[in-house]
Amino acid sequence: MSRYIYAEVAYETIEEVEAAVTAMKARLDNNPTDWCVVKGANTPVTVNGIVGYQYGDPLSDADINALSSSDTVYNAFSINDGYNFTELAESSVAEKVRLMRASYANWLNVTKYLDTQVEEGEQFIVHEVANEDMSSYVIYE
Amino acid sequence: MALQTSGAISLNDIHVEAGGTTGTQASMNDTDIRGLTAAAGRTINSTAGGATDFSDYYGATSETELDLPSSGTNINGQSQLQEITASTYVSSGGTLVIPSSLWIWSDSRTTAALVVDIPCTIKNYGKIIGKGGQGGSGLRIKNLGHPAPGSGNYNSGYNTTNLGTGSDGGPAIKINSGVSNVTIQNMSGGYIAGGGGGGGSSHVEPNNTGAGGGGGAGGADGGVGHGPGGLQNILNGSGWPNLTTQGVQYSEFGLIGTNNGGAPKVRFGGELNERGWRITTSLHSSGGYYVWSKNYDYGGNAGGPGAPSAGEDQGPRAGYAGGRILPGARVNSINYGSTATVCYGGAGGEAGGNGNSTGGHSGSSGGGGGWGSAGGRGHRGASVSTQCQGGNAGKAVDDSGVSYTLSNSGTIYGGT
Repeated sequence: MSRYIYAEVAYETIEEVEAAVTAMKARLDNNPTDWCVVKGANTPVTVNGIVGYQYGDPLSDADINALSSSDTVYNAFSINDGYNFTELAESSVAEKVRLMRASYANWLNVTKYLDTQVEEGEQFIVHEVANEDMSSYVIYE
Repeated sequence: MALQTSGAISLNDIHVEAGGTTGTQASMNDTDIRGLTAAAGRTINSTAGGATDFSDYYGATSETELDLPSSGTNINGQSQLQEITASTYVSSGGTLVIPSSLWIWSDSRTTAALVVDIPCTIKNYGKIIGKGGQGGSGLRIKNLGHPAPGSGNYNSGYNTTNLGTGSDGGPAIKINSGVSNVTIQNMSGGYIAGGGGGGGSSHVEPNNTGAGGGGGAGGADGGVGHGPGGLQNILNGSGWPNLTTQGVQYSEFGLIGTNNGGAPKVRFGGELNERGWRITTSLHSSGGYYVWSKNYDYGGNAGGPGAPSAGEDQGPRAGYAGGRILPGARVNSINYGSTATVCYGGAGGEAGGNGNSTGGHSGSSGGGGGWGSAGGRGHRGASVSTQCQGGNAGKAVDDSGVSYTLSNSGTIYGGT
């Protein structure tokens, strides 16, 4: 029987939890498509005097982490939350990606794990993650 | 923007108003030109080959503003149209204008509030909203009994993959596959909001009690709870889902059994601009009968909160229902252990809270997602590798893979 829960997944040993924390940290650093979708556009379209954009296919992790500036504006939206930002300048994309990451990390409670081995009737014990500093991921500044 | 009302007017002016590109070929007999809406007091002959005059086009527009339905069709005092299709109101190349006081809504997770089936422009000042996903069901699987204490036989649904998953939210707008030249303009004050995902249920060892997940934003109902204090006898009767033959089932509405054998409480998604609600019962002062009343207490503004399942052999709780208020504030659950502020129903654009342990054999289900947001996960305990998943967020615009033009000065909740 599993004893620990981290980010909604159960693990049998503390070593497995720590490995999961390290893996989570790596994904939060490198894999924005875990929590958001970013699309680019480069040619404005004017309809009825209003400017809009045709956004392309979703960008990959690598594309988002190193925007090429070949696109003029971007549409970025969250997978879990309802955030949807349109006509973003390239300089604003990273900020919005971090905002959506903070919300995602908070939702998964990535700074804590649970120990379920308790006496009957007692609540699970909440521990702070110790092997990695995850605090920066749940704060948006 | 309508054509000029006097002075010089050219075929090119008319062609551009009809959605054409300036300087390109056009004729007065083109369908899109004859399909323009004439100004008050003027008439455009829409019949192919029929006589027409340039002056007929003074003040003409490609825009068609939806009329507000008669007040007799209002829901909760709100003007509304349910599940509409663009071609019902405009011709190809036209512009459909949705006024600020109008709700376009869906009551089906698989049907968008507005289906775009022709090339056109949607100019939205109103509220276009998808249906929320139902909360996951805390139902025990039929024909599987209570596990014997100490037997390790926790198979009455506890380890069943996908049991108790919240259902996905529905889209606000769907552009049909193969439809090109679509423009969506969400104007200042306009909302385009996908439905929220339903919260996952809780199934807590030894799984004789389960709480239903919260309903997603968009008027979704909370999930059914189960347990010996209320619905067990009903659940063991005929007519309830059999996972083997029917797959995972969702409830039509949330039910909660009462400990005193009184009438069951029912949790319903909110109507337009209304919170989720439930029916509560109280004994009439005469003592002779129960009185039913509508109660909003923990009903979601957007996403409905999850709920704690009580301890082993205790009464169950259904998830709280989602509402249809825009944008809607977060709603916490009933206070039980540390649950109240954990498995909240999401505000507009906020995912539902994940359920947690409430001690011993108890845990809470996930909250329903706010507009365009996912539902929270329900707590199953540590014996299984995954918790009961929340439903996915409903999209603001389901584009079916086609390109379209988007501009936004209002609020969009959900993917585009």
